[in-house]
Amino acid sequence: MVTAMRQSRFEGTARYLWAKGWKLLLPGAVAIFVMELLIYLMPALGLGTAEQGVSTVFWYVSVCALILMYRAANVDARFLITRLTPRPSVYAGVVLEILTFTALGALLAAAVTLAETGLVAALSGLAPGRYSVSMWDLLGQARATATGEVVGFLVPYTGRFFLSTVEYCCFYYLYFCLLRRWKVQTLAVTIGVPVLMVVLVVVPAVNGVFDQIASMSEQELWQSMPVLMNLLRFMEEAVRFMIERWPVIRAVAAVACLALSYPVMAGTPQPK
Amino acid sequence: MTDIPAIEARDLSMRFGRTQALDHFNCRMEGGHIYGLLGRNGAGKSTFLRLLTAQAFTRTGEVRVQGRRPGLGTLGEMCFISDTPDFGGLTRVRDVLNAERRLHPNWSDAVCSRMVERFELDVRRKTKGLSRGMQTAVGLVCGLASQAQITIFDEPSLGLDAVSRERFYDALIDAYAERPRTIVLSTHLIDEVARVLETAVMIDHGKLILQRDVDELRQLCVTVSGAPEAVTAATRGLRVLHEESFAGAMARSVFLDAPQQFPQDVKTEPIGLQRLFVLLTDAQRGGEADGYGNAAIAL
Repeated sequence: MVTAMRQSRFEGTARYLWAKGWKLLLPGAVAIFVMELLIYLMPALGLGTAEQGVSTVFWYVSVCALILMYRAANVDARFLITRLTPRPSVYAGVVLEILTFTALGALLAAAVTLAETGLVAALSGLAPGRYSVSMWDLLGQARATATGEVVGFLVPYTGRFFLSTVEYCCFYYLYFCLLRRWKVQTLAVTIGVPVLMVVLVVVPAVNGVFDQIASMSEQELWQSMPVLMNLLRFMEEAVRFMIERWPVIRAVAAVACLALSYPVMAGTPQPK
Repeated sequence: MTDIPAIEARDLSMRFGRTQALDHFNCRMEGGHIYGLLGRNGAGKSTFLRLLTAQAFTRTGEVRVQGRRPGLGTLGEMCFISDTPDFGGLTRVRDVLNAERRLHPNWSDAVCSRMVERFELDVRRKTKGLSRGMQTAVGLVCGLASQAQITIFDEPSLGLDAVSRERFYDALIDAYAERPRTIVLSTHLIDEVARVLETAVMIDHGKLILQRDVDELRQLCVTVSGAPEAVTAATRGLRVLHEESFAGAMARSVFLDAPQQFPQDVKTEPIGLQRLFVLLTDAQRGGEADGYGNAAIAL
């Protein structure tokens, strides 16, 4: 088993990707942490007030994930395959990188947030009334407005952050693999097709509807109201359906993207 | 030694657009020897190596490593040092060596240290600031320290000065003596590598033109020179690759079927490998050399 692992170069691949991931994440995370500490120290010195939210390290982990997936599809794949790493090992290394980097990045960001909460709690004793806590997630499903609520907020927040970052890593990785293999076609489909759709379909349709409405009499307008209401109701149901099932849709799409990225990556001949 | 060759290509063809990079290329390399894959720029050497190392794919013909298609089961035994340095975004030389150490199961730190010293590499240096020669030297250190069963160097002398090239060839011989394995040197600097090669595999326009033991070639490929009548008589019935006359004398380069003695009234000397390659490719373009390729495979 150990010999097979070494022959497959999986261990070396995983270590190579790991080292590069941490070299990207750690210095930036430390810099952000130091800057945020300084910001939280200001009110204690009598300079304004501070409202503690989740640490910007969460956002930084998301940015690093995008960069890592770009590298994984390009520089890292080229380096590893030139070193005769079998493509299954390259792929397995990237999957492992997605999972471990995102998990540890999320935990790091949560730890930084907790450390800042501790600092804010301590400093608010020195400068009462100058500190507050205001944390919420993007969908407004959870909030924390006091230091005692931070842990209860952070645990599910970190879990959701981990899942959504893993999903986005899967999308990014497939996209960058496609870009590497078929650059023109990928750009044409992902940018050109939506632009053409808007220009050739959506804009004329919207213009057509407004022209139609402008040419109708008041009586005709009232008569067409039920049809319009039905249409709006249908659109509302469609949107609600999507929102309710969005986590499942996203998870299935992420798994599909990850699965598709292997044949795309494996079939890319090495550039000279 | 088993009957399964280390490397085998059968009827291998590959096209890039309108360029036929490989054209029904055949060759067979047994394990435990040093091979020179020799050819001009654009002959098809790098294309063959990329197919061998599963970096590129073709549907025409087949290539085998230890009897298997290049892939998960074979790549672990191989090391490929490309002519284009690629350090994967790693910042310093020591980061590159560490990454290579983790990727090669048989890596030797002792060989690595010795080679770093021999090439006078500063492992703390940034990879971005390395000269072309130093970049090549890093690759050569990795190739030698990997101790892979099949080690392939594509243009190993690019950017290296003469001293470094000699050091590499000496290091290669030492490494081979310490741990015999299959080594393939792909290069267009033919005369330089001739002293380290056991077998020459010559390729031109994607076709094999010769595969033969280098020592044998020294005996079989000779230039016969002397008076025109004596040279003509001595080379009657032999395959003449080239003829030139000068100052009342004549010289004919011939390819013998077997070593033979020549009369005392002519002088003979072996043809250098590079000169032989030039003569064979010129003969090939004249449509005469198919026989060398076919005969050469049946060693």
